[in-house]
Amino acid sequence: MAKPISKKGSRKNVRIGSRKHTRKIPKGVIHVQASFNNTIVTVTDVRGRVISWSSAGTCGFKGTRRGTPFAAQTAAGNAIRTVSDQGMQRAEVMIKGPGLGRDAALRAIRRSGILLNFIRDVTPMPHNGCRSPKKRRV
Amino acid sequence: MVQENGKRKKPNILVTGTPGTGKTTMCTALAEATQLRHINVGELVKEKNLHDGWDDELDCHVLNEDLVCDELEDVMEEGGNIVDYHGCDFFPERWFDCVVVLQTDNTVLYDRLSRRGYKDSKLSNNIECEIFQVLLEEAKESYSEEKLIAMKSDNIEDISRNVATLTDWVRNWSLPSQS
Repeated sequence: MAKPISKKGSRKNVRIGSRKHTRKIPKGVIHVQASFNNTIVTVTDVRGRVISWSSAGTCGFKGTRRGTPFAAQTAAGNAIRTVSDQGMQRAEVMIKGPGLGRDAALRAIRRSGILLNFIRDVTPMPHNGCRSPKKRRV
Repeated sequence: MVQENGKRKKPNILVTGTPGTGKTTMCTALAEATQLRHINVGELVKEKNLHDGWDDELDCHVLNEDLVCDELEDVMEEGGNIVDYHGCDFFPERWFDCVVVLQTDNTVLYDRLSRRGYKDSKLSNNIECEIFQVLLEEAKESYSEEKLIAMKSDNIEDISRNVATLTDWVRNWSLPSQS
C-alpha cells in the first residue's frame, strides 16, 4: 500500500518567502526572438528561469507595426527596465530569427548600460541528412 | 520568374524549403512531368562523400559547399536540372532560372517530421525554421525577386497544383530558344 504523503512540507506549516523584496540577479541571459510579425524579448537568470519578458504586441503595437524596428526597441527597453531595477549588470544575448527587430532590439540592449559578455545568433538551422556549415550573422 | 536562357537549352530550377515541406515529393513529380533531371543534394552528398564529417549534436553530415558546387558545376551549365535542398545561399545565382521556396503550415509540418522519427532538438529546430521563415529569408537575400516564388505545400492538392504551375513555366521557358 502506498504511504500517505507527509504533511510536513505543506503550505500550511511552512513560511512562504516574502515576495516584497525581489531577488538580486547580477547576471542573466537576454533572449530576442525576431520574427517577421513580432519581436519577443525574454530575460532569464543563468539557470533559464524567466525574470521578465515583453513583446511588441504587449507594448501596444498592433498588426503590421508589431514587426517594426521601433516596436522591437520598445519591447527590449520594457523587458530590461525590470531587470535593471533588480541589479542586473552583466548579460549574455541570444538572438533568434530573421526579423527586422533583431538589430533594433540589440541597440536598445546596448543602450541600457548592461555589460554584454557575448552576443550569439541562435537562429535555427534546417537539417535532415546533412546541414550547411552556417555562418552566423552576429 | 525570369528567363535567362542564353547558353542553356533547358532551365535550372532550385526547390528549397524546411525539411518536410515536400521538396523531394514535388521534385520527383516535376522531373517526371518535364523530363528534367532531379538532383537531390542530400543524397548526392552522402553518395559522393561531399561532406566534412558528422555532426553528433544535430545527427547529420556537415555539407562541404565547395565540393558540392564543384560536383554540380558542369551539369548546371548544361541546364535542365531540378535541384532539391534545404538551403540555397551557397549556390551561384547564375545557375538558376527559377527558385521555389516551399512553405508548410507548422502543425502539418510537425506531424510530418514526427512521423519521420525526428525528436527533441532536431524536431524543434526544423519547426522553428518554418516559423521564422528562415529559408524564405535566405532565398530573398541570395536571389533576385523575379526569380523567386513561394509556394504553399500543405497537402497533395497543393503539390499537384505547384507541379502544374512549374510545368507550364518550363514549357514557356523552352519556347523562345526554339524560335
